[in-house]
Amino acid sequence: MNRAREWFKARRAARTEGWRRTDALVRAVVCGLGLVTVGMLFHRLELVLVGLPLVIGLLLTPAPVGTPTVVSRPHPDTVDAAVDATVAVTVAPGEGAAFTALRMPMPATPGTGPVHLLPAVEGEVRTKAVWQAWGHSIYLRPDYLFAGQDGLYMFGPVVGVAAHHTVLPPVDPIPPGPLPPRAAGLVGAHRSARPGDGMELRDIRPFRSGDRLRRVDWRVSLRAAAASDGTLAPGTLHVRERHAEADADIVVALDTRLDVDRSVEQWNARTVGADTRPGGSLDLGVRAASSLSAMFLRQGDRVGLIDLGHPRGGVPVGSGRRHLQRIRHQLVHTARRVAGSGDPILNQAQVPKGATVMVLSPFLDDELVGLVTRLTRRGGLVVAIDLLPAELTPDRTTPWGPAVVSILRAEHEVRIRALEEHGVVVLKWESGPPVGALLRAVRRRRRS
Amino acid sequence: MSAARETPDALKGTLRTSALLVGRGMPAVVLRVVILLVGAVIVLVPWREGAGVGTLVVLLPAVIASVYAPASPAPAGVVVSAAVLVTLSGGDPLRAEVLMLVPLVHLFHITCGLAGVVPVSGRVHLSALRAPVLRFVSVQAVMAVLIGLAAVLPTTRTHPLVEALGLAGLAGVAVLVIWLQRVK
Repeated sequence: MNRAREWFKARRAARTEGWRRTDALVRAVVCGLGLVTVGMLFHRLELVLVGLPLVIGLLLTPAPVGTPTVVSRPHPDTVDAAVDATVAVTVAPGEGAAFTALRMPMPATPGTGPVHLLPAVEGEVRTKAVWQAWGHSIYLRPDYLFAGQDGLYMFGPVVGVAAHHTVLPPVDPIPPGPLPPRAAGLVGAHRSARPGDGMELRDIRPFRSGDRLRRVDWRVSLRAAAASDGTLAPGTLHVRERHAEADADIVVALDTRLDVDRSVEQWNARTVGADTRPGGSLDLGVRAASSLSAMFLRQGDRVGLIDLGHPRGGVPVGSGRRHLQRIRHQLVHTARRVAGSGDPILNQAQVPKGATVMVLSPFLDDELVGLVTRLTRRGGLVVAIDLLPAELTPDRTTPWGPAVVSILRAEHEVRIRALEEHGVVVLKWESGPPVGALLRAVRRRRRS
Repeated sequence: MSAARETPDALKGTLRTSALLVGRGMPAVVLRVVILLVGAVIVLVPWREGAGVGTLVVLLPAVIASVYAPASPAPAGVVVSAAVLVTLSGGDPLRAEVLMLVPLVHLFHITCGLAGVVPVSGRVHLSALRAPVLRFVSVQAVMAVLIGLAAVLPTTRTHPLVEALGLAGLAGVAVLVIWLQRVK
């Protein structure tokens, strides 16, 4: 009795586990052998001829054995966007398998990809990948199914282990520009307004008590002496005065509350398969923040990040390559939490004294304008980078679509004008952002 | 269109020769289109022989069902009904319609088998089809020999002993098939 139960249990397991027969095998056995048998019994050669290829196919197909496996190769958890990579899995199809149906990414296309019907070859199956979109995503889930000759047997389908990774926002090269130096800075790469031990000449003045002798400009001093009585008297000695060099802080404030793109109709729609809209304001803002941070960190400045949507989502100012990685990781993290419009949050303690603040936003609300204008009262340079698309497409589902776009545009222009009147430098983030040129112009304006 | 191909020579130094580089392949819906085309030709064969009712009532729906669900009993319906309809039409068992039906039904069976293991949204790579094409050609070559043999054999009444031997041989083939198809 127990043996019979075990036998039935094994039969039931064979229908769901391991290699099992398919409809094609049943078809070949029933139709092939059936037609041949009936044809022979009734002396009808047509039935035999139609059924015979199926029987020959059966005779040429042994049942597969073994347990096929698909193992994905370890891949870095963090990758840079737009960098060529290879995704690979190791396939062991076992004896008798003829086909591998394997889910692999399409070349140069994000996502887990479709199921590919491949020959059952033992070894690595590779695909080339380029991840253009930054963010946290599943890049590989090698679901698999193995099949015997003519699809007569199959193993699976088996759901593969999903592999996640983080694609960091790209760093686009931006021409560097000088930042206003930090008032309390003692060392750094930027020329400060104060005299000090820097490289850049500030003035030539008569020698005073306390000046170092190595600062004496002998050529000017000798000329001054020749102009008087020819002796190098204390009044004729002149020294070169130089500018001090100071650190500069920059704070990039990203508005993560909104993610809008060209089509107004899609503003309230949820994005499918991605955290942000490709080409939308948040995507643009994250890419801009990443590129700006990289530019300023490369020239030795200290950079911080503020998430205007979440008070704890920022990164304090810091410097170095590791700090850039930290900012890029945080950008990916903060951009995942777009949760509708709320009041922008900017803690004053997050902005060091004298820091330059760059606010990246589509500027669709007055609260943010008020916050930015309050920042200008601290005396630092404030740059507003407008991320609203240049052309907006009205919502076609409502007759008010064009009117809504007109009002949005008018309000946006009023906000931008208000920012400019309060001394905020406003620029659009488009191809080839003129940040470097803008900073140089601001600096010249301040000096004059 | 590029299919999964073997590793280029430039990469062979670093990869195993069995490594496959997955290309774009072609959409798996192509297999369904092949099923539809082959099925359409299969439908035409008994239709031309005058089996209109059976073709419209049984064969055509079975072909359409096979395109929709290749891993179902529908293709079996196509195989059986096509064979029965052509047989019932009468005539020379080695006439052109029958000879045309032999590779068509076999191709239909194989294509349904392959389409049953890959989703319609998947991709099919030509390298995967090389082995089934070779098998198909080999089986059809064997069939050509058998048909040639049948053509030269006398059509007179078969001796009962030969018939008994034939049936015993068939039983042997059935046992062999069942033995081979045991899943270990």
